[in-house]
Amino acid sequence: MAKEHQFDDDLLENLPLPTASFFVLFALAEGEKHGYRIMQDIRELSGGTFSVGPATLYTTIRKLCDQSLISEISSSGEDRRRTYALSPAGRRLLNAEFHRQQQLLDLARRKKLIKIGEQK
Amino acid sequence: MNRTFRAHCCLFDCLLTFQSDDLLARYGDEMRLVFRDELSDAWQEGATAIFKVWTGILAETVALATPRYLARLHILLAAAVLASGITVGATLGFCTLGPSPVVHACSQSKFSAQGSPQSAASGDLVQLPGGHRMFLECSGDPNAEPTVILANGRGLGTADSWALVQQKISPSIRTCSYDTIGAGHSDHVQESHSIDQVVSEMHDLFQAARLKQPYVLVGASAGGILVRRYQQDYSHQVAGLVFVDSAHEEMQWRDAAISKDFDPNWNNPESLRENGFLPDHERLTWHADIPLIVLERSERAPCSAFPGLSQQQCDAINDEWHSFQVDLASRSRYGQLRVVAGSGHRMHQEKPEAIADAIQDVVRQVRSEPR
Repeated sequence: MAKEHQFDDDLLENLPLPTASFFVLFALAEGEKHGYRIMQDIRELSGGTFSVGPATLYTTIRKLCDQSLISEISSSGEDRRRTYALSPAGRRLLNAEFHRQQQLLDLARRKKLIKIGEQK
Repeated sequence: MNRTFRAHCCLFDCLLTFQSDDLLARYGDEMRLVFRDELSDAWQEGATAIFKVWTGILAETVALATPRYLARLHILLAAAVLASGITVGATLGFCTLGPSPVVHACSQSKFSAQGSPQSAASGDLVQLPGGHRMFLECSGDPNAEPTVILANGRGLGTADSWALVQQKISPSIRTCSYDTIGAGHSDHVQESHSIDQVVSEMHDLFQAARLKQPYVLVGASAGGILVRRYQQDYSHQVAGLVFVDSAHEEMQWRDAAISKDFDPNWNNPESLRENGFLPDHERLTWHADIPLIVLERSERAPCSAFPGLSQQQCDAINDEWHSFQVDLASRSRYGQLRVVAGSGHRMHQEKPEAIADAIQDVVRQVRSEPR
């Protein structure tokens, strides 16, 4: 169920997220956006280390829509552009991914592989 | 500049033809718009930026298109090998082509291709009376009764997610799965659906596709609530049920009793109505004395799934889940609870054979009962 909040293993077993899916969800965390804006934000969020082209972007969008992790909002007026928004399930999945990454960082810190606050 | 710009766009259009047809049908226009925006920006920055855009696009075209073309190549090769095999076989007299009373040296399938009980799975878009179209995929003997129908939760997953289960069910059983409205190949709509609407769409789909009654409904996760609701509304059509690690109508308020942080929406009337959950302290009254098997996961949900909950609360949530399954199994006097070893919540991926066995057992019970 899209709005099911319990036992989201359906979602959790998607972790770790593929990079493109992660960044599309990440870009939409701030609010709804159209395709090109998502593309620009991905470049910015990743500090220029990751970018997607239109085909990868829409292949990812299609997959996320089919899994009900994001939803399409129809275009307004003469513009054929649709905007996309994070669904509650998508938001939970993104949070779970951050949580997973946090745990890895904590582990690396405990093993003294990185220092607290160190940026790499 | 305009002419050059247009030439770039035309080139992009040509490259788009290497992408899959369904991606183009759904997002072709938008992909062109995005490319135009990207190119316009690069245009301002100069030749290096334009070059970078094209490098990216060529790389992704190769990356996305190559696996599909390789797959096609495999099919072509397989077809060529098969065709050569048959031709050589026919030439040497090991087997004949076409109908013949002569005993063949080549092995033949048990059933003829037409009307075969082993008919391959085939998907169709079914037109509903309300105007929407839903994707339905059925396999097995089209004349068999009852029809087994596999239902997902309302939004998550599509007919595809049942593929492994469907493959493992005996071909003598008619089994269908579908994409719910808003998912996969079915029509996508913006407005959210209440559970009553979803149940009525299920009913419309089964009628429009003329699925043979009675039905054995199989509901996974939130799909469990859906098929219980269906049974309640159309009890004469449903002869048996299988729940696959099913959600429970009381779970919102019972989980909220463990931690209110679990879901801030736990008592929101709209959310409850939409998902079929019961309001605070309301008990499920549903009961149906029909063949019923409840399949429960053996693996407990990891506590990392519930950030913010203590270990104790996490254990309590897991215990509650188990008590939901026990309760569901008690809702029919034929009810059985089976804990599926080695399975998590995604049982249809992890233990499809356990689900297929349960379905076959329920179908056997239904067939043995005179109706």
